[in-house]
Formats: sequence, structure tokens, C-alpha cells
Amino acid sequence: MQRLLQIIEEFKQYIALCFFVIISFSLMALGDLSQFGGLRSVVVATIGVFQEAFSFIPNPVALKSENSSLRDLNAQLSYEVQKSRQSSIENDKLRSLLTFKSISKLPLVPAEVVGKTIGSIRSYITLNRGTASGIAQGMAVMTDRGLVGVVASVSENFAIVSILKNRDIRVAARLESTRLDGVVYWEDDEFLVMKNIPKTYSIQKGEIVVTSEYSTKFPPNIPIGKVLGTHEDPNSLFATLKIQSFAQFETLEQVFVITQLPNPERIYLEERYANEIAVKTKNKKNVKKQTSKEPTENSNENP
Amino acid sequence: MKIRETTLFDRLPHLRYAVYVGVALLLSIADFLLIPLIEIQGIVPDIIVILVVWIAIQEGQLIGILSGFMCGLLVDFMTYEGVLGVNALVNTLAGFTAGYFYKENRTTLILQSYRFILILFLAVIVHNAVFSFLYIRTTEATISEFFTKYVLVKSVYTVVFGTIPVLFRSLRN
Repeated sequence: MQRLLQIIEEFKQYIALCFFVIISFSLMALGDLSQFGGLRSVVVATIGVFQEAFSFIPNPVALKSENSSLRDLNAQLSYEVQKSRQSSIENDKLRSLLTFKSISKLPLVPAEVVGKTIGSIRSYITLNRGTASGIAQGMAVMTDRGLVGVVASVSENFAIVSILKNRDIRVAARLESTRLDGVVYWEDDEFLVMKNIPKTYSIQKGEIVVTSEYSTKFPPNIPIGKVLGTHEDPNSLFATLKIQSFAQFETLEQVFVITQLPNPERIYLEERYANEIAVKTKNKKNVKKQTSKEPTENSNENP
Repeated sequence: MKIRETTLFDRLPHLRYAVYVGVALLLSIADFLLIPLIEIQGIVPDIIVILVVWIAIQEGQLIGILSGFMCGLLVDFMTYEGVLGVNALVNTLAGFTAGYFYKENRTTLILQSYRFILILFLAVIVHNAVFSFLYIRTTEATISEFFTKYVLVKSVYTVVFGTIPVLFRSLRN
């Protein structure tokens, strides 16, 4: 017994350590503090009293952290608002396109503009649809507002469209109310032009210009733009119309490709006849220069 | 010949235990009320362990173990979250570690010199290492980062506060 007491005395620190470690682990095994019910309530109430008494002391770290969190939240909410606004605008656009597609009798394939190149001579856009969607070179492209251009090149999933602001594009057009025909094209300006309109006709500002039946490239009656004004050369019998296109090329996002190609029989017949005329008139010296220089849709329509 | 006046503690030596209890209560209140105000990057000093090490150097290893357990249990009750017994365990180990350096006739010398700081640092390293081990989460960075932040940095921060009683005692004497 004395020996045992001696051992305990000698190793009392270790025994105490083991004892308290075992108690600590036993307490941990009990789990959370909720098992102590009433005692815990007293502690919480006491702490609450002290915390209330010291609550006037600001905690700069907590304030900084809260400030940072609020900044993050603010940035996130701003982004959400912006996204919501964008979605609303996009929703309106898509709704109008959907309405247009449902009322249009033309075979349309919707496409998204994924690339845009606005140049000084040639401007074109890239669409996310290609041959896989039934798109082919030469098809017309439009929006719900009006004509955009023509498909210049196509791959399986993408298509490049030459837009009207392109020197290679000429469109046989007609003034909707006066029924005057002409060719609409672009001349390095903000607007399109329609030349050789006889001065004897009174053209009203705002008159709508549409594609005509004479066009071998575009289906008829697609809106192109509206007349902004007339320029009359005093030395000429003809006037030039300045036309504002309906399609907003700078903000194009969604378009429709008209999956309808011109009738090849018609093109063949017209080309053959044109060649015959050309042969006949080859030797005639009295061909007027004015008519030979005049841009015609068929001579230069393809990009 | 200089005659030293007898103090209350000389007449009632056990009164110092009451002082320890009072200081432990005050420190545990300060631990959750004031210490969060000096938090740096989620790191706060542990002022209770300073008291435990102090008692262990002053009273010996056995009392150090007992005070570590009692102070730890007090902290366990006062903290909102956490498992009961964790602080009791780590403070017991800190008291045990510090108690190794107890020298009966040299307590004053240790308590007012850099030795206390070194002992405190060692005890706090043990305290924080075991504490971090019990709470480590595998998703929380790497082991080395975790060790650096929650063991080394926290220990250094605690030791900085541990210099206050040393300075106080040195100036008093």
C-alpha cells in the first residue's frame, strides 16, 4: 500500500494529466453544450448581459468585414440588375422576331450575329448558322424591320453575310407608293442611295422603298428603308434619293435568313438573252455611254 | 537591515487561489467581449492560456494541470459553439507543458524574464497544435498553411500579449 502511495506521489502529475485528459475526452463524447440545459441558459444570459453592456464598442474588423460583404453583395446585385435589364431588352427583340416569323410567308431560318466587321468598303456579319441549317450562298438576310444583305459565303455552321453597306451589293428596288423602280446601293456614306429617278415625279419624304419583282437575288416586297431626301442635279433630268435603311447594322443581333434561292431557270434565261443582246450590239458604235455606265442590279449584284 | 512588510497573501497564502479564479473569470469575459476587437485575419490571441502558464510556473505542474482544466472548462461553457471539453483538454496540456519548467525557488526570476515568454511560446504551440488538430478541416488549404496560420501565427500573437504580465511584474519589482 505504501509502495502504491509512493508511486502515486511520484507520478501524480502524469496521473492528473491522464485523469483530466480522460475527463476532457468524455466531455467531448457528450457532444454539444445543449446537454447542459439549465446551466447553459444561465451562462448565455450572463454573457448576454455583458455583451449588451459592451456593445457600444465598435469592432473595426467586423465592420470592415461587413463592409466588404456589402460591397460584394452590391456588385452582385448590380450585375443581376444589369442582366435582368439585358434580358428584358432581348426578350422584347425576340418577341418581335417571333411575331414576325409567325406572320411572314417566307421560309425563314433565325440566326444570331456572332461577328461583325464594319469596313470602309465592305462590311459583313457572321451568323451562327450554316449549311447544316439549310443556308446557302446567295440567300437573302433580313430582320423584322427590313433587308440586311445577302449570304456571301457559308460553312457547315457559320455564314458570312455581305450587308447593304457594301459596294458589291446592289438591290433592285421600288418606291412603294409611286411604284418607281431603281437600284439601291451604298456610296461610302451613312445612307443608301437610289439613282435615276425622273425629276417629274414628286417623291415624298418618308416613302418606303422595297425590293422589286425585278430582283433576281431578293424576294419582292421586303422593306429596305425610307426616303430621307432628294438630291436634284440641275444638269441632269434625274434625281438621287437618299435612303435610310430600316435595318440597324450597328446593333444587329438576331436576323432571319430567307432560305429561298432565285429561280435558276429565270437567271439562265436572262443571262442568255443579255449575252445575245451584247453580241448584237457589240459592233454598234452608237450605244449611249450613259446607259452602259449605269449600275444595274444583275451586272453587279453578287458580292 | 531591510525588513519586508507582511502582505495579506503572506498571512493567507490560499487567498491567491481566489485571485486566480477571479482573474480567470475576468479574462474569460474579456476573451469573448474584447478580444474579437483585436482580431487580425481571423486570428485572435488566447489570453486564458497565458494565465494557465503563469499559474503553472508559479504553483507547479499539478496545479498547472488543474488550472488548465478548470480554465478550459470555463471557456468551453462561455463559447457559443464548439464541443465541450476541447478547451479543457488543450489548456490542461498547456498547463502540463509549462509545469515542466517549474522551479520552486526561481519562480519570480522566470516570471519576470524572457524565460516566461519562451515557456509560454512552447505551451501555446502545444495548445494551438492540439486545438487545430481537433478542428482541422481537409478542405481548408494545406496542412502547412493551416499550421502556419492557426498554430504559429496565433502562438506568436498570444505570446505578444504574454509579455504584458512579464513587464507588469518586472516594473512592480
